[in-house]
Order: sequence, then structure tokens, then C-alpha cells
Amino acid sequence: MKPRPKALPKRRKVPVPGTDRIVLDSYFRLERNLADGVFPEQAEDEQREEMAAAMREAVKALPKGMHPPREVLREAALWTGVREWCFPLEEDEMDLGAGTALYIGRAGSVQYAIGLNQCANLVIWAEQARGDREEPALVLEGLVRLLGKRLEYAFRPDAGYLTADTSRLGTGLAATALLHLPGLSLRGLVPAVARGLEEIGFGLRHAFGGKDPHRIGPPAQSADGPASGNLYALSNLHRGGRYFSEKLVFQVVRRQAEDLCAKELEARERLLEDVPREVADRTARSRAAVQAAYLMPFGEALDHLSMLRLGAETGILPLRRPEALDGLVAELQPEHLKARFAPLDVSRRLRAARAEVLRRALKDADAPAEKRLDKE
Amino acid sequence: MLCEKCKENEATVHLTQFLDGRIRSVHLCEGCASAMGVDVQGGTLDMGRLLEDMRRQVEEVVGGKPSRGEGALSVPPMPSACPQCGMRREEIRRTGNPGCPRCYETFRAVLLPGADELGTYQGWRPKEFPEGEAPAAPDDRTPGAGDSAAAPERAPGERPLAARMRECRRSLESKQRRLQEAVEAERYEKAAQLRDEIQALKRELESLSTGPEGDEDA
Repeated sequence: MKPRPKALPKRRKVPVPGTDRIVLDSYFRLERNLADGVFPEQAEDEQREEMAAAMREAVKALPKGMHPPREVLREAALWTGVREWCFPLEEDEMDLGAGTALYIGRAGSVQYAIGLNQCANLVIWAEQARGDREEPALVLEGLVRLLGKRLEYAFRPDAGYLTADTSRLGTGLAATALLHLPGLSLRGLVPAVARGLEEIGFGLRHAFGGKDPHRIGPPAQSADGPASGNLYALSNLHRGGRYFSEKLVFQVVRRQAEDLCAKELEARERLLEDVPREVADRTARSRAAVQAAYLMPFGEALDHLSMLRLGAETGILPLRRPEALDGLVAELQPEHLKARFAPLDVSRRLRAARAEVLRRALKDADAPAEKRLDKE
Repeated sequence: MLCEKCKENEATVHLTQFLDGRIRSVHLCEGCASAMGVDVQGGTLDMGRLLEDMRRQVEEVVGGKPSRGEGALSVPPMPSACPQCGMRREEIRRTGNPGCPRCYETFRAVLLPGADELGTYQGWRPKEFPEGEAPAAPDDRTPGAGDSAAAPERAPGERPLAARMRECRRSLESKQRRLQEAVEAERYEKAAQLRDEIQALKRELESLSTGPEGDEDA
């Protein structure tokens, strides 16, 4: 007797996800140095203190509309302050030693941080999750202009803003969009897309670890293994200034992100046409894993989240509360878990905490309804 | 392309050498190549001596030694260390990274090679550099600068001749600085071009300063 395969779940009609379901986060980083200062790596402690004092005055003078930033004095306080960030501040850029400072603030739905004497005299980060991607750009521009009223930036018309690394000369701006691209990834199309983007000045990298040697973002914890989750960071490779302005950098990154969203939606459609059973299988396995696991490494958690999100957005796996997936990418990161569930001094407790967060967030995920889609 | 040595004949001998990771090229006519020991038939060549001869010719102008009877020029040499942060020139050449913003001014030829050929800055500008305005030091790259036919900007009460001489001196200083940078960066073609422009400016300054008295009152 020929075995009957398990029926595919009936796909429910759901609205085509908008770009805000694919572009999960917008992240901008801008660096400046002081005209009469010394780059942080070369500066003595006294020089750093002196420069920091001048910059602190400028930060304190920021208008109340930008929400007076809170100064972070301990590393633990940093992660508590940036818990909602998908892209935590990179460890190699962070320094809370002598002559340095870090402020965290909020302007509407945009979170920002101002670093003094980190990798540059002044570094500003602005991030927003799934909002209007023009807002963090406006906040960034506002902050740098307001601070520039009291600070003299190192600038040359023939080079742009001066940096310690000559490859970062120009606008000093890096604009990044975090995209969820399971369709392109599962169809194996990401390398080709990345090569095409690189030719026109954009980088598409794994957002969290992965096999790509050019990964960005914080490195995955060694005990948790490589992380992927079909999450990619699209960013400008060139700092610009000579041929294009900051405004144009914002616009072209946004345009490329929207173009990638269109490609992703097309890839998902083809995926569901070609291999619907495989997609349903992986979605169901992920649902079962997150609802039952006791230990969950970071990379595996991202992979399961990716399948659950794909299932919810394509109608394969209904979720009563699809918004429960939002914010999990940030919440599950090691530093954020440590800040929330202190103390977590060993990897096992970290993985246990992560598994608990996932179980609570997704306990209401329904099993796929078993109805025939095709006859065999 | 004209011969880099005599600047009269067409260059027909093109020599390229790859040494210490850098490509060096020289373009000569047959006469100059033979005079410098290049066997244009057999292909034997002493590239090091050839480049040394050319470098010496340019440095005779830069270092103030007379060359072909022209007047000496004084150009300050590139400092060995940044006056602000103390970063040494050798360290910057080795790492390619400066220690402070002042290093970009001090070692411009090393840190910003080819900046002259790039366009103007398109991004946000700090308040000290509003759109359309050049930095404090005058720059002869702006349209009309150094052009003898253009009327120089005059201070109130300043005579036209004095204004033109002031403009020439300003342009001369800028070109001398750029010549030094070109030599440091081993851009000899650019250095030779600047040398010729400097010599033309000196001739103009000399003629302006020794012209008839009546011209100064015009």
C-alpha cells in the first residue's frame, strides 16, 4: 500500500507583507572629529579628557526636544539602555575608560547614542525598528548640526570630514537596513544579488555571523555557533561626499532596500510554488522546536524565528499574535538577555533564558491546519 | 605626448619599471633617451639613473638651485613630524593613517594624493565652510585665478598693478607648495607642469616690477 504523505496545510490568504515586514530595522552611524583635537587612538588621557569636556558641554546644550540623553557609566547600564536595538553598539567601538563618554537618548521612535572619544572624537548612532526610514536620518542630521553649533569639526573641502582611517573620509556616514530575506536565501540567490549590489557600491552581508567572512554586527557567542536567521544588512560601501551627499546616501540605501523587498516577495512566491511541502515542513519544525526546547543557541533561535515569520507572512502558519515576533531579534541577543536575566555567566544559562523567552512569546502559535492542497 | 626631458619632440621611447611594489614610467624622445644612456635599439637601460637624473632636474627647482639660468625658488620641505600630534612622516607612510586632523594638512601629498583632480564636496558642510566658499588659504584652482587677463580683486585704494602683483605672489606660493607635494608624491609629470607655470609667473612678476612707472598709475 502506497504511503500517503502528510497533507500540506491550507494556505490562508494573508495580505502581501509590506516593506516594513521585510526591512526590520534602520541603522545609521556617523562619525566626526574635532578640528583642533587628536584622534582617540593617538590621544593621551589628558587630551581625551579635555576634548570630552568640550563635547560634554555641547551634548548638555541639546534642546529638550531631543530628550536629554542619559550618560552611561557602566557597561551593564548600556545594554539596559539599548535593549531595543537590533544592532547593539559594536564592542570594538565601545570604550568607557578615561576621557570617553556614552549617552543614550530617544527622539520619538528613534533611539540614538552619542559616543565621545570612541573610535572617533564624536560618533552618533541612530536606530529605528520598522518605522519611517527617514526619521532616523533626520534625527542624525539634527544631532550633528546641533552639536556642530558648539563644536568645530575637522573638515577639508578637498577631502570631507577627517577621520583616523583614511578609507572613511567623506561624509563619515554609514547607512544600514536590516532585511529578512528567507525567500532569496532559501533559493540560493543571495550571493548573486550581493555581487550585483557590490558593483554599484552597496554591501549585503549576513547581519549576525553566518558563513560570510564579511559579516557585520556583533560576533555570535562562540558557544552558540554561527548565526544567520536569513537576516542581512544592506549598507553603503562608500562614504561619499565627493560625488553624492548624505541625503543621497539615505535615499539610495532606501531605494535599494525597497528593490530588494520586491525581489524577496517574488522569491517567496516561487518558493511556495516549487517546494511548498519543504517550506511547510521547516515552518512546522521550527514551531515545535521553539515551543518545546529547553536550551536555544542564538543562531538556531534566529533560524527558527525566520521560518516562523515566513510561515506567518505567507499564510502557512497562522499566528494569533504575529506581532509577538517583532522585537525578538533584539531580545534574544546575548547582551540583552544578560541585562534582563542577570546573572548569566555561562552559556548554558544564556541558552536556557533564550529558550524561555521564545516559549513565552510563541506559546499561542497554532499548529498548521491539516487540509489537502493536492491529491497524491 | 611630448618628451618629458626636452618637451619639444614627440616621446617615442616609453620605459616602465615595477620596483618595490610601485610602477614608474618615463616617456622620452629618441634623442634624449640616447643621451641618457638608453639603448633604444638593444633595450638596455639604467632606470635608476634615468629617474635620478629627472628627479635631480625637478629638485634643482624645488631646492632653490639654479636650473637653466632661471631664478631659484624656495619651497619649504615637508616636515618630518606633525606639529600637532607628533606623528612622524615615516609612520604615516607605513600605516597610511594620521594621528590628528592637522596631519592631513602637514602630509597632504601622502594622505590625500590626487585630491586636486576630484570634484567639490557635495555633502553637509560645517559652519566654518559654507557652501561655495573656499578655505582660508587662496587657491589658484578656482576659475580665473592666476589668469593674467582676469582683473584681480583689489583692496580699497589699491592700485591695479599692485593688486596684480599681489595676485601673482599668492598664486606663486600656492604653486610652489603644490610642486613640493608633487615631488614628495613622485608625480613628476605634474611637478614638471607646475615648474613651468612657476617660471612663467616669475617672469610676469619680474616684468611687472620693472615696468614703466606710468603703468602703476593706470
